[in-house]
Amino acid sequence: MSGYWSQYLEVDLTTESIQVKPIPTHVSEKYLGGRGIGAYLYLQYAPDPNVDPFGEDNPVILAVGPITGMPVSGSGRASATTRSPLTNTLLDTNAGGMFGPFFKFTGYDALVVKGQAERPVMLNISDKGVEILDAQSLWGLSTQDTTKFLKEQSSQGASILSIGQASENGVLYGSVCVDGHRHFGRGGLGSVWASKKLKAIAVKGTKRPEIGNKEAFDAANYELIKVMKANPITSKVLPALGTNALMEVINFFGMLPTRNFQKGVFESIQKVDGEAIADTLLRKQSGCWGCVIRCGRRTEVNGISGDGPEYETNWALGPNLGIDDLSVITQANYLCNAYGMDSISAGGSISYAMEATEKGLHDFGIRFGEKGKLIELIHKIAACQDEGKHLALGSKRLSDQFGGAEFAMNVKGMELAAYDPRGSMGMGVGYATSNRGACHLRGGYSVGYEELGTPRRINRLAVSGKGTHVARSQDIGAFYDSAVVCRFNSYAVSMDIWARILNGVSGTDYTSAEVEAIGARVHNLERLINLKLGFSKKDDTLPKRLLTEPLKEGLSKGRTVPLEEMLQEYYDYRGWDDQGIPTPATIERFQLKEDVPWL
Amino acid sequence: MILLSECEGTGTMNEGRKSIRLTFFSIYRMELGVQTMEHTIRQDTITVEKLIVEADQMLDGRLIPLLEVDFEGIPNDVLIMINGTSIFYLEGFDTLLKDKDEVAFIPMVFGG
Repeated sequence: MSGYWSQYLEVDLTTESIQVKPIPTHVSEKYLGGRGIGAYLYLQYAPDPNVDPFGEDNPVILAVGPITGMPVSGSGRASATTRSPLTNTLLDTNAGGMFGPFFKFTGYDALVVKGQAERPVMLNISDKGVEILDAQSLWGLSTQDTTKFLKEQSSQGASILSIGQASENGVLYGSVCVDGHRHFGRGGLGSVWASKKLKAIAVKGTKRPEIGNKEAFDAANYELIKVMKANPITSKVLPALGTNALMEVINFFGMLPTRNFQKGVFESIQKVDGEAIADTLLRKQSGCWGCVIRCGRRTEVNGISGDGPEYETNWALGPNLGIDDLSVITQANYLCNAYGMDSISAGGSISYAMEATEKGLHDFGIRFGEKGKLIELIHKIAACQDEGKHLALGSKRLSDQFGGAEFAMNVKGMELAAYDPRGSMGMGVGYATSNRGACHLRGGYSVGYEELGTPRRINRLAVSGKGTHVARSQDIGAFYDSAVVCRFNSYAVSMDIWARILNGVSGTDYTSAEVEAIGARVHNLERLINLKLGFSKKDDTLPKRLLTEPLKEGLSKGRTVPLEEMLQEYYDYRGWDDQGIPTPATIERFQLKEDVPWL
Repeated sequence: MILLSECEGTGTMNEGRKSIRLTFFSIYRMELGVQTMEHTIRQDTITVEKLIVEADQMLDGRLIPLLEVDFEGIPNDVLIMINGTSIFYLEGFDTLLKDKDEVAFIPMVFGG
């Protein structure tokens, strides 16, 4: 098929062997690329997926999609799959920047890294082939310093993936940084890399994949550009304010999680919203490969430049901790980037620690609002020192050790994001059923429909119908992640246009319903893997606080999440039994039996 | 940035006047230079449409083009909330407003 190379690289760090292997066309047709191919290849390498996340049998898959590297806005991303050390679920994560297209241009659709090196190494992938290089001198460097060094060494302007000290030291939510400023953030991909002694990957190639039907592609792309220019989100709001445009809006709805989800309204919101950033810290916009939105924020504080904070980080290290000092929040954000660790999980672990301290469960040495202690604590988490060694493990393990599970705000071990589901019922069932834990995106991002009314309005506080709606949103998201296109572009671009873009690239004939079904297939495959890993209906839940403690003020006052009703509808829509297990008919419908060894 | 301005509607300002608070979010606030304004009304009630028209006059004709509303059906690109409820769930632009009601104008925003 056009748009594909139909092959992937396998690198064995134990034996230092490198092979090129085929990806059959029927596999690409079933799973597209990215997240879908990642789940498929994961099972090829771990047919019993119950591997130690830090063991040599846990494969890491980096994958791109058919649209990656094409002249389409939003095509500059890449996906990664492994078993998460934070959640122990299957993990997929993706990131923007330049890596996706640059990797695509080397002539491969995916890279599988297995085994473990004896000493720190990096991979160099180019038109000339693949090299496993010594990286001992890079071990212990930040993501930015690693990136800077390798870019200077690369005469060809390579794209660089790197881990930082957080992963090397044992933080369970270590990230992989893209070119010094984007991240494969959630779930601990970087921590898995560190267990393999994989420090960095450099890629640069010159091969360009063919477009199958250029006339059809150009027609669909023309429409894509038109709708993006016409849509206020992609043409005005995101470019002007970035993701922090959400801050005050979510706070208005009374669902900005404040002080570890104790409240839904942050009293100092205007000190940390998008306008505050634009007025004080913003220096310029930044964007991923080929993107017209350019939602990234290049900022400066106290003479130091960096990227962000984005909405999630600003929230996680700000209102979530009772902190309203943008300077402190931004510096903490810079450190998370440099050390290479997920800011949402860092913030969720710190907010647990603050509440546990105030409740007398354990003195972690920090309370809500103590901004003067935040920076030092971030350093200690990255170094796994003192109290940092506890916080490095995430809120679930913290509560396992110190108590307070009812306010350890995670699902399946992944910390919740910047939306309180007591103000957005769909987010509740979304967090509970996301395959990688409490992810707002993998959970279907229902807040878009419920709060913001786009692409269509649904009542945020209604319960009936939410299970169905969230399942469909998750499937659409899984398609985006498998085609590896940016969700932000997708706020303007319909599934119909994406299907036509895909058909133009690959010469296929998918309808929008068929590509949504591919997303459903991917979600079901991931679910089967998680069930095999021991997860079950009992894990499709929310922290007790959200189920039993009503919000006390704001537009979402008095609300808790009636999860069970939505969950049963969700299971029904998905074709799962009442224990959340895909039925034989569902497995047959998505042709999964041939790809899942234990079925 | 004007945090709060008092704008007279078509009535006359006097003690015990009736007013409606308008709050603008995100790029609306940035482009109008107004975060919140109190709009005086002479009648007991006013429709959302009329409020917007009057407020537009007070804002030198900048509001309606910014909101991109034509008062036909429910707008797609702006959330108009009356005391926390979208006009989508009320009477649309015919929704009646009264003294001390709060109207929020929220542009389509999105994030991660």
